[in-house]
Amino acid sequence: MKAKRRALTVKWIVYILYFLLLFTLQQTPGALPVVMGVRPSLLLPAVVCVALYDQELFGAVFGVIAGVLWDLNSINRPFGYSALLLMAIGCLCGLLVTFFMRNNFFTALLLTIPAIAVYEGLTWFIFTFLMGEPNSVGILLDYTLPRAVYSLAVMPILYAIQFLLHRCFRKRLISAEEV
Amino acid sequence: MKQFFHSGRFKALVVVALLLCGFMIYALSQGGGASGFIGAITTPLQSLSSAISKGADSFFSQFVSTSDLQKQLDQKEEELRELREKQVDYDSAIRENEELRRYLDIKEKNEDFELEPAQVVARDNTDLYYNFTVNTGSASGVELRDPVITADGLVGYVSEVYPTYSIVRSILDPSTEIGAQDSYTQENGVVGLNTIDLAKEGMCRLNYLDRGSSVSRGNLVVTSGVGGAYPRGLIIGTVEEVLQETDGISIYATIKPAADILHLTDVMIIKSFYGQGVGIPGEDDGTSIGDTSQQESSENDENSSPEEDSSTPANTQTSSSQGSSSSRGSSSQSSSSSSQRDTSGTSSSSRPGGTSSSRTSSSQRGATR
Repeated sequence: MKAKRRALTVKWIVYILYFLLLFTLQQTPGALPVVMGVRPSLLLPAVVCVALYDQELFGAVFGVIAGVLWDLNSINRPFGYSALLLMAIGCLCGLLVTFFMRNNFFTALLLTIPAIAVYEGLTWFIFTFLMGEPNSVGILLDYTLPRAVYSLAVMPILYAIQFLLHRCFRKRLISAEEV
Repeated sequence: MKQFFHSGRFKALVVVALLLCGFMIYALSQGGGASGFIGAITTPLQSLSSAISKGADSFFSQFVSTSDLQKQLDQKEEELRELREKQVDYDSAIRENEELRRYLDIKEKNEDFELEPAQVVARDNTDLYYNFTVNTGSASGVELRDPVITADGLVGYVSEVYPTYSIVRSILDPSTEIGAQDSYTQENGVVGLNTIDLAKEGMCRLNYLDRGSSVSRGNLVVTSGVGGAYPRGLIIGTVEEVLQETDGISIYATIKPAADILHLTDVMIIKSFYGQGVGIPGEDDGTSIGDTSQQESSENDENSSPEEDSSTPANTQTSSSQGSSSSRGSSSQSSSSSSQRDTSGTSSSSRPGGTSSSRTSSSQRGATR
């Protein structure tokens, strides 16, 4: 029991450090290549990948963590907006995989696309279109869509990392249970 | 699946969601968030990452391709040609020299700036206007609306401040409003209401110029100092183009900022300066002492400050989305009254353009301290 609890604690710590790393990479200028004037969102696909492997609770919790971190540097979104949205996305993806879908790369792709579409679309709609930003459609086409596509393009890398992390900790948890 | 919705986990998630909603409502109402503690943990990490990124960038820049060098050379030659044309205008150079001599003592005495160095550690990847986060906050004496500069000029103001970090709203952001002045023609305007097309190129706008304005390409734009939000004479940029507004009544100018806002790494925050919050005493800038005292007490009031102070950034505390919207919505009202106020201030002022130039030089010097 103690060994299992220790293994779970280590898993949580590693996941938190992993998300801190993703957050730092995402927000640091120059850390990621700029394509068409945009940088990708790493936290959002990472939340989906965590939810696929570790189901709804992990998905929701790390959605909150990722969202809180993301909102730290945000100047136009109220604090808590991303946390709420990513929590809902993580929880929903976890539930879908638990009850209706299998976890594989194509499912990951199938869930990441609407997740990114919902987050970016809602954010654009509320904080650009409704705020009366001039040329809001241009912003959608020149910034929001390229960023969404770029974020989707990095999802396979994050899925692979999540696969490795999950496998590593599953072995540890199994061996901890045997002890 | 029904079991999940009856489980304790789901109830815990609902509680967390309600808490987050509460945070959001608090952030929207107060303009701040409870992110100071989390930021204290993440800011050192971001500083380290930024330093690594800067080092890698400077290492790889040694191998820049020759075509880039050729482009830079062509650009420099064009700039040199333009500078040579300007040199022919001896009368304006002599006049500027006389004005600079007149205010030389102000240059020497510009020790009123209290500066705090800071590094750019993060930029939100969803941000369109090059706002950024710096690794200095209220623990170092930084306050809301403190101007942020580099050795080249003004880059923005502190929009949100936390103990160990601050978020700076750049001059490219549409919500930013800065009382500005053409240093040569002494015409006043407001830098702000930027568009995404200009911001993408690293440019901003100088608005509310009269139709008969003599602002022309190459003129230096500096802060007017009206209202005390920014010290007078801080360089904002140079005029690139003068265009007519869609309404046909006024004209505006596109400004190329003096500072490279797109690639900032190190900045200075002006924590205090002479005339901060009230403007420089003795100037008829259209704001009475009663207005400024009201202005200071209303800094926490979300609705009143845009009307009272034309030069302060329109957002009061933080740039929440609603705040941005209301500031942009009210900016046209406040700015139109501000331009009138600025104009009246200019006409009654006896200071020639050299004030800006001398102030500019001293402020640059102050930035490099």
